[in-house]
Amino acid sequence: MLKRLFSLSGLVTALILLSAAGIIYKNRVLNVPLLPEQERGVWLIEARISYEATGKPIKVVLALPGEGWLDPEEGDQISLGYGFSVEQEDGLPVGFWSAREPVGRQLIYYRVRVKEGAGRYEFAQPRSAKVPQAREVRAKGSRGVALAAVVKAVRQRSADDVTYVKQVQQQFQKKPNDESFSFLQHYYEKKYPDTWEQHFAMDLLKMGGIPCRSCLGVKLEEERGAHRPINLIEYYDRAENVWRVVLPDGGSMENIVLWTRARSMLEVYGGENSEVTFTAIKERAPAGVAERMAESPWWIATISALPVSERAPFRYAALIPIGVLAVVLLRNLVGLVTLGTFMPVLLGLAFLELPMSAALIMLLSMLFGGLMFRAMLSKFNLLVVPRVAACVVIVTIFMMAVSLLSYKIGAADGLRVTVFPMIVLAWTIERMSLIWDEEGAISAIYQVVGSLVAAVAAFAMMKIEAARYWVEYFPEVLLILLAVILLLGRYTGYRLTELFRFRSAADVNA
Amino acid sequence: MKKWWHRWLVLPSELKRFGVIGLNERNGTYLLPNNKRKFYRKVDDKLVTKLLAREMGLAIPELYHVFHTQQQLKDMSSILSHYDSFVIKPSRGSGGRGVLVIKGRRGDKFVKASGIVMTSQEVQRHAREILGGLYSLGGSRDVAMVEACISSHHELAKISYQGAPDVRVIMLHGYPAMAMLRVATRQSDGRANLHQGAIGIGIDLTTGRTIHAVHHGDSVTKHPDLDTELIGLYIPGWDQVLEMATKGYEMTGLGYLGADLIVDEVRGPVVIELNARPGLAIQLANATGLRHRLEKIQQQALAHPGVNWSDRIKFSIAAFGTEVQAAEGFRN
Repeated sequence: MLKRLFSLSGLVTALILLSAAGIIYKNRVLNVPLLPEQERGVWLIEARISYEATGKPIKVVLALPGEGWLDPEEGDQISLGYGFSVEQEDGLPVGFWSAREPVGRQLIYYRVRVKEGAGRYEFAQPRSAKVPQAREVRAKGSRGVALAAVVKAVRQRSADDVTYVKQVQQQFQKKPNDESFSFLQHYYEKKYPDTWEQHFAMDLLKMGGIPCRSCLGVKLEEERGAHRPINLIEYYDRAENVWRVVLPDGGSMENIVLWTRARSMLEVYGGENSEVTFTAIKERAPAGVAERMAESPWWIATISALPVSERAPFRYAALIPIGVLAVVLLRNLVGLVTLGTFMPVLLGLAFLELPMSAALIMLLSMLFGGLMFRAMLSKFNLLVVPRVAACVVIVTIFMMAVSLLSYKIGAADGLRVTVFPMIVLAWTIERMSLIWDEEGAISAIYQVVGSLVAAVAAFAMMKIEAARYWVEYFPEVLLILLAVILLLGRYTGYRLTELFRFRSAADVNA
Repeated sequence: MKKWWHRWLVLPSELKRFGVIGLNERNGTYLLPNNKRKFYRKVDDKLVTKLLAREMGLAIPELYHVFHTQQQLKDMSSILSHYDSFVIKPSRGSGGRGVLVIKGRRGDKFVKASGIVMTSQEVQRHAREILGGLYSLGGSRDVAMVEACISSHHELAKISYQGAPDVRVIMLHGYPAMAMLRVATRQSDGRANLHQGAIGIGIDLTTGRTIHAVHHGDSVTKHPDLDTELIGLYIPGWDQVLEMATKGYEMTGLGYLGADLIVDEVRGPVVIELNARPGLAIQLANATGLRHRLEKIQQQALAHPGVNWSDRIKFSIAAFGTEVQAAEGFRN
């Protein structure tokens, strides 16, 4: 009996039973659906406030989303030892935390659920209120002259408030090679390092007589991870009597929600080094599921009980076994040859963060550049470790160059080339050049193509929405995955490529 | 019957009928259960293999010298001055990498097998690269071995385009299962690796004669560069080849083992290296699948453990001899 339990088939059965039990319990008792929501996505946004307590009484004020599209009371907060209330400040909702004497680094989480596309970007001006007036910009000397010049150019090309704003935004997109504009850009960059576009644009609007103020938004993008609030502008369209929210540089507002119309996001009284970051993740389960799971014992709750900012990287890591399965299938069933066993999985992960074509082009150019350099190095007959180390340095420099170049061209994707695992890339180049020397170019290219195919396959499997949903809400499926991989470990049949390799067996006629 | 799909592939059911084994089966059924990890060192480090073979009384190329450190290379020219021809190779290289064959001398210079002349500084630099790990897998430090240069038997040399042909014998539990001769071509550049374009020639275990040859997976009967006949050739000293290969099992304890030998003009067969993960192309060279033979050996080894080498050879010759070979071969 015991022997049977420890046999492979026993282990596989146990894994599958265990996993099935978990899945059935969650599905039947906790009502977790087996497939992800098909309808429009719901996003879970989490604000993470951190600050250093100095021993004084603390008041923390965080601007909350409101203004009709979201009820601030719907959000929930996680904090230890704080009193919490939602209040109104100048007609805008704020979350108010207070504590007597906290010590050390403090963390407060506030999270809220948002339907995709529910955000509002237009607000009517109440009739009773005074008509807003643009505030005067006090700019003297050369700054005044330069501002006047830019405003003049913008005004000439616009008809009303909306087109005026569009023209201002265009200035930021095109970055005209204009003396006054470059002078002003330099001035604002120096004065407001993080928010120069916002301040610059607002001054231009004000000088055009358009009332405007700053506000803050949050980006709905899973791969971005924790990020700071996005600086937005709202301006008053005098013809239509509405406030409109825009990005200073006219970028798409598609996946940005306006978090608050208040000017400041966070104020901490009595603490130091305060900061707020936002993490947004797509909820694939209906509302309430995550809560029900979070309240269950830890072995059921799994990652749903973690704060969103911790959950985001975890969801990502939980995809790795899926990619690994893809590689096992391709290597042992298909017989694909790859450079390095699990290198394709790492590449597949990198593909998840970048558009596919951009990632492939970037990767191939980096491999090509690395190989050229490696060919140069081989003349010197260096020892292996310094040689690969030199390759890492070159790959790093190459990445910096690609980043800078794509930034200059205006493609933001290049900025994220750092997602490529550099050390792995350097080893890949090293192995590829060795194979090139030993077995010829065809063999090396064959293996690189094999690696890319495996990487794309791993990427495709990790990209499946249902797979992502399962590893998050039913991590038990990882046990089934393990069982499948164990069984594959005992597969002794032919590989697909061997049918080709041994084809001449059929030629012989005895 | 040759079917239209045979141009591109062969069906799994057909491969199964031929008794061909794939990499998964080799690893899962024969290699992993029979080869203990701790014994791998005995074959992966050629210096260890050599010392063990010497203890067993197997014929090996005479070991002239071993350079362990860069300092020892200073005395290199005086040490090498005793020998006219020699081979310098890394102890842990693979696939023939880093092997330098010196055939003779011209004054104080050395002449390579291909006829190119090298200065003693160049030879010394080659040894330095070996010590630095340029040719060993993973780039770990290595030692450089200097050994006698084997001159291939003229019967075999005439069918190889440069490079000495070598005989590979695959064994399970010390029973020879299959053997092939590998000869270099112009394309394989003096190397005996089949996927680099060398020719694989199957050998009848009973008679020691070649029976079938493949080049790039296609059946051939003549050498593509030399136009010499490849079939029906006798391997000189065949009995000793089998004897030495079979003793490799006692030496290493590896259940699934390949032995590579070269037949020297004067000394007869000598063991060059042993291989714990021999490839599967030998099946194509013999036009015979390995499975039937390995299964038969497995049964025999289970039923009669501890059989000595000569009885093991007798068993294999009886079980896989000429007639069996003819009956088992791939047929449609």
